[in-house]
Amino acid sequence: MNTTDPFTDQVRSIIESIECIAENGAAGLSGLFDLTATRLVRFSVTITRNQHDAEDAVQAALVRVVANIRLIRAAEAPWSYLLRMVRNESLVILRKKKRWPLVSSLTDLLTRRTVDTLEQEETHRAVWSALRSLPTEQSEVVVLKIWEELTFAQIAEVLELPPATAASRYRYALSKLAGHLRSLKNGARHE
Amino acid sequence: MNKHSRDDDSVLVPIESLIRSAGNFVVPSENLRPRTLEAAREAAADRIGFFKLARLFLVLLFCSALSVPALDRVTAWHERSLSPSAAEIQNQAAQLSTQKGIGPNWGLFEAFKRLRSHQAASLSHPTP
Repeated sequence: MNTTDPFTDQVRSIIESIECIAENGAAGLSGLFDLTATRLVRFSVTITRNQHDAEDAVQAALVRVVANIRLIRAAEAPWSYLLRMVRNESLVILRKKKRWPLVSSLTDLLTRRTVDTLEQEETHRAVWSALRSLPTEQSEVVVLKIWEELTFAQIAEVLELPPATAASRYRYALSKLAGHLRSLKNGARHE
Repeated sequence: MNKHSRDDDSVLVPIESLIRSAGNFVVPSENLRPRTLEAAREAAADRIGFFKLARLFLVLLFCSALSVPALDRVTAWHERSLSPSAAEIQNQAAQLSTQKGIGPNWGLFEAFKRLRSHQAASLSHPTP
């Protein structure tokens, strides 16, 4: 697997800086949190479809990372390993809830609002709504491909499926999303 | 086929950029960071406590492994050093004098003689 992207290198260097849980495990975690939390929550939300559950999953995964730092340090691709951990924790939380949420409402999400991007908020909401309308196995591929910029081989490793399956899910999901978002895009073009 | 694929790409690329632009829309809540660090600290404290307890258990196990043979030796020495009480000697002397038909003084003499030979035998064969 190609692990030369800068973000993976950053994650690796932070993980290697966490020397020993007894000495500075929690302190080392703060660096890892600052680097990865936003992206991990974003990924987990696509699985749990609820921000609160997603944050619980991210918290559980990061605490596990510090408790077993040797495991992630030994991983060939620590960022993919971390994403897989968050995915597993998200699935555990979903299993505990005993129901897969099917709501496409975005009321649970804590969103970034700035004056400059206020006008784009509608577009962003439409994208997130469209993502939530997809089955989880498709939306997580889209998130990993577009937002995490992983290759299909890396996505396959995170999701534990063949790369060809990841690629086909991606194309299928994107064509569905295109249907959802085309109207929005056309509307923006007319304006 | 290729033309079809190119058409697909021309539709999908703008969709990809639209999705990409919404990537930073969702942010973690402000309390997630302190919550996570606190949980990590608690987990670390629990692990340290567990390791301390495990270390204490190992030390106790090692000490008990060392002390068992020493206790055996002490017990053996204690048993060997035990002497009968005066009443026991008197009883033994009375029994001997009755059995052998000798006077009580000689009975007492015989009882002490047996005791001394028993003590000498146990001293010459120390318990391993």
